[in-house]
Amino acid sequence: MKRILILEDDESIRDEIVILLNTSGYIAETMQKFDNSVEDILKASPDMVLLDINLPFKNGKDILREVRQVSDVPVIMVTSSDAERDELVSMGYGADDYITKPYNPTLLLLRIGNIFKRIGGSSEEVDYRGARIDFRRGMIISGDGTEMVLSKNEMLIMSFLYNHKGQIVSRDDLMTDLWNNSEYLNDNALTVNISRLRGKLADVGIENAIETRKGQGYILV
Amino acid sequence: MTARSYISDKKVEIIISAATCVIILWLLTIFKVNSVASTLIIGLFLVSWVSAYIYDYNRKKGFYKRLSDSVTKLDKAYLILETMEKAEFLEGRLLEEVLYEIDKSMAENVKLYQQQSVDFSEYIEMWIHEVKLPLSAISLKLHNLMKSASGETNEYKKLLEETRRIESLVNQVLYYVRSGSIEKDYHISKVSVADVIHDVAMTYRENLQDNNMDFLIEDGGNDLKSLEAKTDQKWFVFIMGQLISNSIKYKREETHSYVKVLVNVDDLQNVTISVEDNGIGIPEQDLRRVFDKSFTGYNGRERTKSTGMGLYIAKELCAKLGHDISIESEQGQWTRVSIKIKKSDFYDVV
Repeated sequence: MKRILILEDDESIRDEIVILLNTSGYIAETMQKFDNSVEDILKASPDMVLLDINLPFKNGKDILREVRQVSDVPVIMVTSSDAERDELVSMGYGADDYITKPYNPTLLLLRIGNIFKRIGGSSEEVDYRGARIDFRRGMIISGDGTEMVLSKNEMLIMSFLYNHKGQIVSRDDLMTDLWNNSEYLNDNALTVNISRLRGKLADVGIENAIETRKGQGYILV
Repeated sequence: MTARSYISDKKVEIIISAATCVIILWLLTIFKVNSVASTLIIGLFLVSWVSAYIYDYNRKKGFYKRLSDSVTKLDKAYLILETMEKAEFLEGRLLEEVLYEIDKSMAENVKLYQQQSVDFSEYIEMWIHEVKLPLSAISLKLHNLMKSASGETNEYKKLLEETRRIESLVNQVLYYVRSGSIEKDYHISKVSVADVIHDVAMTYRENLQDNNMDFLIEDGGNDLKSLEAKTDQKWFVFIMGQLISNSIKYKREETHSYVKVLVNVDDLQNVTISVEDNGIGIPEQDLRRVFDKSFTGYNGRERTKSTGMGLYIAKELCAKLGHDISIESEQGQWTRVSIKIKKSDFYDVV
């Protein structure tokens, strides 16, 4: 499991991010003191750093600059104003992503997931229950070579479910992901897309791949 | 200054002069000065007095006329001291001195209020960033509670919705302060239209879905990913957000509601982004006043949520950014607010 180090001096926010990350398949680590942040980050050598810009002793920008001299660890900067964000973007401090408070928790998880996918060189083709899923061409190829083309929305849903295989994915999570990809679906359209995706999976011989958990969401098994 | 008003102002002097004439005439008669000489003396006195008054009238009239003309011509009348000519007579110089003192004391007074207003804006901005911390904590907490709850999450959803409402109201204050600020705190650059729509869609997604409203895009045949407009992205997203939030507030219950973003590029490369809904619309008599500050109108009275600030702030921000904002509506049918982002080469240099 990926370890994410959180540098946030607001205790209530920090506690909640820890819960958020721990329940989303990551290991959250925190720092209580910020007098020696750069060394503490390097010593912890996490898989990702969530770095707030307003920290005591040394602000996030300086920490990032110093960390960057010796490490390529992915960093998401958390800013509390648009002005700070603009400055960071224009200065090119070397953060992998930025998010402005108050942020949508699902969006934060999406950003984290995307960075891990990017650096993990996420494979464009994966095997799933005897079939191959080709994310780039938007296709499922069954064991006997039958090709099934998925629409963009079906592909986005399949990819999200696959990346959270074995976890319950809520409709809200799926919606966030679809909208984040500029597919502004409504509730009905999501239902339709999921049932079409189920149908297509069944057509290539993958039965009951997407289970419904009542009141909670879906799970790819 | 007219001759009549001048004469009426010099009433006492004229009466004294006339009385003096009468007394001199009387003295001349007593001393038995011959009548031709008396007439000459009185005539001389009269001529010298009258010419002295005429001279005085003319130079004052010129000075005061030019002064009052420039006061009416100046759009900032308080700058009169800068354009005022040097007076050649005592009263004029006194006026000048007094005006100078008034000016100075007024400038100090204005400066005091200006400083207070700047301090207040700064405090509000800081406060808003502070208040966003507990708001962040609340929405994270609610999100976590919702995730761990096994059954009904409707109560949490309600709380989340209220939290989002606070966030958006707080944001409105921030932009209200910015819209009135003398300092230029926006940054105009080439912005992707698709990005703007994406940002505003992500902000209002839950709100739209909770209200069962569709979010539609009509790109007018343009590729929104590559289409760029010159604006400040954050400000523009906020302005569009105000429009979408109005569409949600004033949706019609009896129909399936939508918010549609229309993008149009005209021959001069001006980009117009419109937000259209099929909501309750606006009565014709209210339409030209909806951008007025604190105007709530018929809809605002019918649905008490209106503050009359959203469109006002949107218009103020558009004015600062150099965009044109306009509204069309048919009561009971639809409303469309359009923002025209002019293709200006001005910012190419920057």
